[in-house]
Amino acid sequence: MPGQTVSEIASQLTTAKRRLDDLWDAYPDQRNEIYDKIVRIDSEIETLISNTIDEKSKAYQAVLSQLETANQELDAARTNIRNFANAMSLIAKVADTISSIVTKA
Amino acid sequence: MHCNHSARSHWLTAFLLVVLALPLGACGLTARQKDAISKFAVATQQLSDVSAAELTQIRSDTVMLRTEMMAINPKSVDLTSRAEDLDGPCNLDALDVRLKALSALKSYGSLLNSLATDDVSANVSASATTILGNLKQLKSLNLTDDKAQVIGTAINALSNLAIEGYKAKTVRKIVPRLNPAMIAIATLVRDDLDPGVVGGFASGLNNTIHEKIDDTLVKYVELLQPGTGSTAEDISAKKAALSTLQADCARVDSQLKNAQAQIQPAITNFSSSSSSLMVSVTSTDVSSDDIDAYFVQVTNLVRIYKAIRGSF
Repeated sequence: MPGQTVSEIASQLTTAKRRLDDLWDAYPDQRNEIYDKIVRIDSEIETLISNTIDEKSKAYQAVLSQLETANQELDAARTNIRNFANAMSLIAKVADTISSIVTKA
Repeated sequence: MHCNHSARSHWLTAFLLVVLALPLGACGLTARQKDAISKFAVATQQLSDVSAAELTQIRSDTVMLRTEMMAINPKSVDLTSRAEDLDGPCNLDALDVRLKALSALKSYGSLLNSLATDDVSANVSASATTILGNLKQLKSLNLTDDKAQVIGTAINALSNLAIEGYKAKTVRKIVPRLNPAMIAIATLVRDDLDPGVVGGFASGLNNTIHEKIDDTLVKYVELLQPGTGSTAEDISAKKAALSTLQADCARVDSQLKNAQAQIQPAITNFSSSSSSLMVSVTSTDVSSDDIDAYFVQVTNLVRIYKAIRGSF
């Protein structure tokens, strides 16, 4: 089924299952065989959903990586701003020391 | 005469610094941009909280229903299969990466808003006051109260302009770069939580309810006959268990549909606020509020310049 979308494949599997439902009602004496086919289609559908969820997990992981990088950058920017304010405070302390020395001299 | 010339050149330098700071101030975040960031932060928190709770609930409901299903027909679950075990397609590692991405999204909105609203002006102002207080004690500088006040105002203005410019530069660099990721995560979450979209968590639970239980398991119980490995009591007990399971399915199905009432508006609000933020950050349009803000900045700087000229 190359080239088909997940929805198209799922739709075909569901249609096949509905046909088996019809056969279930029409041929009560063959229900064991029909049931086995239904179980196989269920398995196909669950595998399809699971594989698609796993594919989407990769997309989530890509978004997660970008967000983590951005969050680190934002965190660093906030730290830089705080450091700027702290540097001002440090200059104030240095000025205080110089002032004390000069005043004493 | 020499001293006078030296003082003038000093304050000419100060004036040039103020003039150079003008474009810096004009590059600060506008009120409209800060508002867009604030709304985006709220939207990311809503989307993250609602979606994380729903994804966790979906996996938990899937495990509960499939455990009951296995009690009726042990072969309906394959514990060795990634797709058909107790959590079906909603595997723990798949849930984990989704929760981490949603948590990072929430942090992104929060950090962006914190950066835009962080206010260190009080610290800068206090430091400037201390510096000038000390400089005033140096008699050789001959710094009067008026001069000190002018210098302090200039230091505050320039520092705050530099900080606001830096904030805006950071936001304008990160927001456009992350915009495709914002569009992607909105689509991923919407598809994951819509039972009608094949290949998401909600569709996995939907399939367990409507295909694995309401269709296939019901047929399994219909096939049970006394004497083929099951007693009449066993069959009766399985029919009772199926009724209980079907009631649980109806309850979970209803919850899944009701959750859409919370999820869809959260996704719409997130997409809308993300788009508005992008437009706001990249737009070159200037609103009347922005002009007013620039006017205040320019007026302040002109006031500082006049004070410098008057004082020295």
